[in-house]
Amino acid sequence: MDTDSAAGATPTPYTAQHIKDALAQDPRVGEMTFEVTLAGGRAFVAGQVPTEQRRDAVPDVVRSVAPDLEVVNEVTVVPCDEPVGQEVIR
Amino acid sequence: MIRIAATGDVHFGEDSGGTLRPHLEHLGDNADLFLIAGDLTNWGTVAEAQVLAEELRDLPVPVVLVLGNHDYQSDEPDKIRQVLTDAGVVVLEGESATFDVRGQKVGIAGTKGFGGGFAGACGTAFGEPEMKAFIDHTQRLADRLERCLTDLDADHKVALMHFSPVEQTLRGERLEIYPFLGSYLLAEACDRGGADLIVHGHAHAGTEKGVTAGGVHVRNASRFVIRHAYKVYCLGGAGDVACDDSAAA
Repeated sequence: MDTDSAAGATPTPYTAQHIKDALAQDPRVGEMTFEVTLAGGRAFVAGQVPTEQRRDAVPDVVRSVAPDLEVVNEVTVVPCDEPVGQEVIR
Repeated sequence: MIRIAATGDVHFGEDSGGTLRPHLEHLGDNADLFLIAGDLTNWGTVAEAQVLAEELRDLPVPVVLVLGNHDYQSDEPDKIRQVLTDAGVVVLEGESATFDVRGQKVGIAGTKGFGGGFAGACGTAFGEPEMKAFIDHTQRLADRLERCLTDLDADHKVALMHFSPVEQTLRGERLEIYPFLGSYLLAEACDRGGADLIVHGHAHAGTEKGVTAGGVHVRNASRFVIRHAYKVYCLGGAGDVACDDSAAA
């Protein structure tokens, strides 16, 4: 990952994708499917991960490439309850 | 009826211990087989596979897996496979396994699969070597899958893969990335090979249900789609074990 100096005080049109790449390529998160949008000096990150640890690592990873953006972490942990019922394949 | 429990994209990390096993407490009551459709690990490491192996060890039903793209991230898919095999689960790549369930033979053919896109909007093995390699990889895996399915001597045939064989189960994903999510070549292989059900993962934002052009039912069992530890799909006519199809809607 390039040091994204352009992702500092003034985000570029590429900053959101650089953040997505960082979230995919950092082993603390390792997830490719986030939606990242920038507005008003904030980075909004939405999506799902399997564990709380990975959700909680999102802001640090974003700040590693965009240190001057405020991170709004809207990532949730996917539920994993036992199923109710079955489906008959016909 | 044959009860197939399925999930995918469990993305196990070293932080995942204890996140799955407690939710498998009634697996033996609900299902005859348990399939996991790839992305077993998050970063493709042996350490992550060892955490998953402990969660899957000594389950009351046979466990069958394929690897996904995440399982290749650290370039040690063979070691991951070995760790899981040592824990007593079956890992398939261009291979099949057959199980006897109350006197009926259930065959599972498995592959990671790969991308390329869907008929009318897909890549072709033409031009640069990188493009040829991309499509050839999918074609090779699809060809092997078809052979496995065709050769299976079973009452019920299930194809297990990571990438998607159809577009329907990708609805919800961005159209631009469909070629990275699956390939019609996988569906064609399953149609020719006579599959009764296809289970895949990979498309976290997709939808659960689809069907191939040849009429084979497709289920995207990604954990992010089914939002449970697993779903149960029942195959075959009326039998000694009834299915509650309250989840069919």
